[in-house]
Amino acid sequence: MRKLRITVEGKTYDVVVEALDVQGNKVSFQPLTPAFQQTSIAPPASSAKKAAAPAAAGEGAVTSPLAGRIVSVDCQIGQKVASGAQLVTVEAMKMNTFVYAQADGTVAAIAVNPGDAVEEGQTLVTLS
Amino acid sequence: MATKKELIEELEARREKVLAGGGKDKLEARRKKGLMTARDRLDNLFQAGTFMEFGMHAQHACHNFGMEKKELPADGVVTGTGYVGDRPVAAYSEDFTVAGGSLGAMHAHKICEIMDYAQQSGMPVVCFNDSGGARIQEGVESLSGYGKVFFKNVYLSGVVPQIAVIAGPCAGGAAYSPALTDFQVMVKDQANMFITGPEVIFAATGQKCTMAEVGSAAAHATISGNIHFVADNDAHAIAIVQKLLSFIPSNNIMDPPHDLNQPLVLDEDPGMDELVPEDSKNPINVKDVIGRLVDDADFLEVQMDFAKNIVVGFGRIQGIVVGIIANQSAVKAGAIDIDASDKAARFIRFCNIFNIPIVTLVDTGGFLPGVAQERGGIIRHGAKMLFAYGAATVPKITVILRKAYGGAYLAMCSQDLGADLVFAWPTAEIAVMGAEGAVKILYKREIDKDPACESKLIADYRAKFASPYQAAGKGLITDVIRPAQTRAMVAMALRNTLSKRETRPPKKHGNIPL
Repeated sequence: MRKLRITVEGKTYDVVVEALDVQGNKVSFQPLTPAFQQTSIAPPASSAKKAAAPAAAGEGAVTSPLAGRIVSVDCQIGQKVASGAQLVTVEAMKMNTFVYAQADGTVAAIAVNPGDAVEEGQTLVTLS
Repeated sequence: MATKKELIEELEARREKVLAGGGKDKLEARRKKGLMTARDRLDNLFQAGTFMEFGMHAQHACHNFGMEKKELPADGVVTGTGYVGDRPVAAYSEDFTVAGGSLGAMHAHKICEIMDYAQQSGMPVVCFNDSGGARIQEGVESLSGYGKVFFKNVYLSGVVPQIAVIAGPCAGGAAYSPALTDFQVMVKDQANMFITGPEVIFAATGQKCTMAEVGSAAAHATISGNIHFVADNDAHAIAIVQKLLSFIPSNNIMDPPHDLNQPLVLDEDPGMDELVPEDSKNPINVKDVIGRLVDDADFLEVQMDFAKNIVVGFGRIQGIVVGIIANQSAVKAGAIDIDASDKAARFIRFCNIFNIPIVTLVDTGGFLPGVAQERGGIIRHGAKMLFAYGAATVPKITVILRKAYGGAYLAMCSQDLGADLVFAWPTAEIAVMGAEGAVKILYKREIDKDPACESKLIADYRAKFASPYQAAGKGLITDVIRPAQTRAMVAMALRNTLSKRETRPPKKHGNIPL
């Protein structure tokens, strides 16, 4: 079964097209290639990082993915944010990079101001 | 007259014994754990009834350590050919239930035989690696066996596609055979691949680490870049192999499976216009662009979790199979770094070997600056991209979406690197460097005298150079097109360029900076 949109003399119709055999029975489309989803995977936890974590980037630390300059801080202290919320905008290589929350939380600390230069891996915001 | 009953019975009895591998109970135990057996893997890869086995009755010749009393069915590896879709494919599958899938002389001989046959017949090779490693009882013969398999991997490289599925353990030297193939699919949780595991690392260096860190699919897919696809289980790995095969030809003298029996559609796609953010500094998820460019949004991404700042993979554009290389401005600003260079260069070379046209989507501010990049050899690695594009003789179509600065503009298959056709969106910015940097060099004295003039100079430079028209004016661009025209123009460009033939001076091979 396939959904198509047809426009006739300016009028648009959504139609569903179904393939039938000579007897008028439904035939199922055989996909050319097997349908499947690709699997995305996260990096494994590093035992080296675990040991160094308290000094470098602690629990709930949101870090800069690359070196650049802070364009804007897009959250406020005390704000409740959901996973995926935009927290900070970093500019590097003539492009803005949005830094998102990796988990739900509350903004406990903001370590940077607009205009600051940041290193890759530097903590920008801490969520609790 | 009829074949003697006893002979038929003997054949059937021998077959049954071999088909049981390391024993029916062991096969069942694997299935209960959710793992496929060596033969299940081939049965699922091939169309039913098309598997033709090579060397089912092979026997090892080892007389050490009581091995003379042991029979190892098929010597621990099932080899043969079968049909995937309408094409024959050669495969071998190591049987972990037979002496741990260990590799001895006969095991290696069988692998080499099927690879020779595949090369001579021009068919792809798929292998399922599931082995404890060398068969120690056979001593240096098993080591020699690995050497022979590696040599075959190299011999076949560039002639027929080779795809490795790491479906179980793959340790030590054994890991180098899949590494020599074109694509590696690794089944998560059930597979490990490493040269030295955590115990040996600890014994040799005192470093503590986990298997997940050094040998897991997660580590290889995200950090080491050793593998190309992660599979959830055996069935998923097989589906990935089948999907991959649907885009690539059987050998280097065939064209990939294009579907040219469809009319060229030149309709515009307004949705592509809508993808472009108003602020040129905001990223585009380039996978959305690719989704609109390829047929049915059907894109097989290669190395999706490694160097995400560049996206590579296969799709069809109005039926024509293409390899797509695209900067991902939503990750690391789309800058090209060491890993991104390696990932893209290897993919470009695969496409070139197997006659797959290359479509390049450009949106990068440049090579990633930084001490780690310079000291890590970004010159040597970035040069791989220049080399791979410059050496590729397949059709090369480039679309400059937005940013194309400096060396990275050249490295993304500019006209000078041999692109057959280059299209640019009106949002394209093709310049030797960004406005801020350029103005600081060009107007150093003026700015020193009057710092206030800098912002105006930047704006002037941007207005003049951050566009496609400087490059178009110098004949470096075929045409400036609206984003909505992209799919139609690229499809037409591909059809027109498909018959391209380019000959270069004969040589053994170029010297790509490795």
